[in-house]
Amino acid sequence: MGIATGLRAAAQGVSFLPIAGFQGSDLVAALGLKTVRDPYTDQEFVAVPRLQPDWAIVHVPEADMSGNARIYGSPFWDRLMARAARRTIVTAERIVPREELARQPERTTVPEVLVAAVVEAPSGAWPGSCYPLYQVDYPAVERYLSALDDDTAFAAYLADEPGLAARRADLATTARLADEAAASERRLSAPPAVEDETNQPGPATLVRTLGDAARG
Amino acid sequence: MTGRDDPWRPIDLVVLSMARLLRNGEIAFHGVNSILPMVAVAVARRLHAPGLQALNIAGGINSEPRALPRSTTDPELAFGSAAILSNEDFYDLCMRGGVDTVFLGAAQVDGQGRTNVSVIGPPDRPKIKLPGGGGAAVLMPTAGRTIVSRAEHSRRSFVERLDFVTAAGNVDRVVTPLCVFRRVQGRLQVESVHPSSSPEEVIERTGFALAADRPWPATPLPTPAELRALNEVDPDRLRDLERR
Repeated sequence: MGIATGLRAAAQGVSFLPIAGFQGSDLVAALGLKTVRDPYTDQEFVAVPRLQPDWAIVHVPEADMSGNARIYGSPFWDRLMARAARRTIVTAERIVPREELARQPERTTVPEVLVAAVVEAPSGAWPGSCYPLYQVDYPAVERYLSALDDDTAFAAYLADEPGLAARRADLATTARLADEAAASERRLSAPPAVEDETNQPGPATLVRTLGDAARG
Repeated sequence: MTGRDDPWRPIDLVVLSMARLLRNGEIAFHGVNSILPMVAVAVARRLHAPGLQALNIAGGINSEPRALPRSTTDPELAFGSAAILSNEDFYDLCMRGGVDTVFLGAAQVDGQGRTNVSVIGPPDRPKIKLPGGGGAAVLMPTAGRTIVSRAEHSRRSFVERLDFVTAAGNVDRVVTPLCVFRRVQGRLQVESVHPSSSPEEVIERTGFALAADRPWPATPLPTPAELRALNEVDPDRLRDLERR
């Protein structure tokens, strides 16, 4: 919970936030947390310092090309992380037309103004769940845990990833298009100009830059 | 001890003891890694507490999962909810005093009902680094009461001195496969001993001192209705998976 409060401080643009609780916990000393006194009531609170990630990566079922992202079910900490980070990358099961989200804008969990890049990533949460599209793949989680110290088993685990076939098809399509373009001596349009780390356009990567609106 | 063919196992009485503590209409919450509380809540809602306001870390509010999942963060636990309680909303609700009962787990528990879920061994050179409190340090002092459960009861977990105090505060009961502890005047005391155990075994396997000024009653046996509800909500015995 200290982590969430640190993220909330970042989201709110303050250097710390007071938090209820923590009485009698060794975590206060172990984390070097200090306390603040409420100037109105004299009550003492643990002060959690701001925790601002450079990047948040949030996986969602649906996003548009501008980065508007919908989460169905619980946002867990994704909604907060997208607001706390300097910039957010949205990875989405599928890219939907903007008009689809515009029909119910209140259902959008992460608004485009917070988003630096959008990546189409089918089965991107596997072996976790992406509600309501697929559930946790518990046998795969177990395979992952038992394969951690075994390269062969780990390769087998990765080869099972449900999105792999789709991405291989994408790669093949991209390679074919590139070949055709080269053959007809047409110049491929340059990938969109993006800044720093986002400049990694892959075959299934749709990138939109945040530009000067970067916060923090 | 009980065996495989007995009508109930000690872990069943851990779940049922927690279910019995839940009051109809109160607001109760369980978080991650909480199979036993998840099953207890489902049993209580089916029996004496249909009006329980059941919250969980998956965002569910009085949800109706089609089947209880193995992970208590599984989105299935929000299935059938008419609203989603985001994690921020839940913690805010608890911190402002709006949650009656919070279920927590522990690797170690001391005689004051304080818990360690951070490290085993010296904190600066830990033998085992545990997953951490997940909010326990905030929830335990701010919840109306906390019910702590463990699927194992031994001197390595019920200790005189914690390696690290992760959370302290409003612990009301600690439920184990041997007994139910109640915190009275700041100390855990045995409230009842499960019929599958004995006072001698509880003393033998508890590392902190216990007041034995009067005999400890036996935990009531599971009733047929309780066992039926338990097996209906958890037919695959997820409750046996709880880490020991």
